[in-house]
Amino acid sequence: MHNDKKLKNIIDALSRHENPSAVEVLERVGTNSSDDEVRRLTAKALIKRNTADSLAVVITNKGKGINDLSTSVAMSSINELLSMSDKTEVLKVLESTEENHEDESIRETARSIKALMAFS
Amino acid sequence: MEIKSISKNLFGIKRQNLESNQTNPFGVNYKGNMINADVFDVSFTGGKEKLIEKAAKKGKMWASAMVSSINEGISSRLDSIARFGSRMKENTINLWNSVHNFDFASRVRDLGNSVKSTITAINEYSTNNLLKCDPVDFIESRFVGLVRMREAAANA
Repeated sequence: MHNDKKLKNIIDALSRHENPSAVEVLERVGTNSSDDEVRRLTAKALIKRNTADSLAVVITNKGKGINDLSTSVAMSSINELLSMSDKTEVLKVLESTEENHEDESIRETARSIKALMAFS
Repeated sequence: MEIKSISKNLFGIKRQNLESNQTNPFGVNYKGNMINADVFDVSFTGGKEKLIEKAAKKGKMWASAMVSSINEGISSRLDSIARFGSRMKENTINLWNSVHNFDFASRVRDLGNSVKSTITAINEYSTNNLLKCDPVDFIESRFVGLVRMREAAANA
């Protein structure tokens, strides 16, 4: 099995795994990687998991998810958020971030995404 | 002396009847004594062979040589066949022993284990199998390894 396929399977398995510590693994290993593709796949997996803690990783952290320094990774995360069928949890996190986060840029990004979701 | 008076039987040799000539082929007796066939045997001639005996002897020698060489040829061929037979027998026995001692069971078991290992290696990274890993330490270790490989390749 090719390594790219292995990597995708691992990230997919962590996205769907019942054990809550899977989120920590994705954040610890995936979102901190220097490889753009790894960060992109990890952010997508965290969004698909659709839990408060997994969504918080990609919305509230500088340099991760929608705040990633790579434009392609950030745009990919935003698209994934906008295409979600169940947006209940993500809207809660966005609102909480918009109101309470200490970092202005992160608050601004959350507000923008929330606005886009209203139109999608 | 007239020629006519000269006896044809100058030496007094009288001829015998033909019927009694089994041992006296020439039907000759000398001074009343029957001359037997053994007179014509070589041993009585003091080693001096007659031409016919010489020819017969040469023929016999030639025939003897022929038979001897034929026998020799036949013997060597028979030896060759015997050696071939022995070799074939030895090879058959060795083959039988090899087959008899071949441990089919362990070979099949080794092959089975090898196939199983390969299948296990392929299935190790299937999503369904990874989902069954709990805790997720195994998944994390594989995740770390693959990420580092990608990063190393990118930096190379």
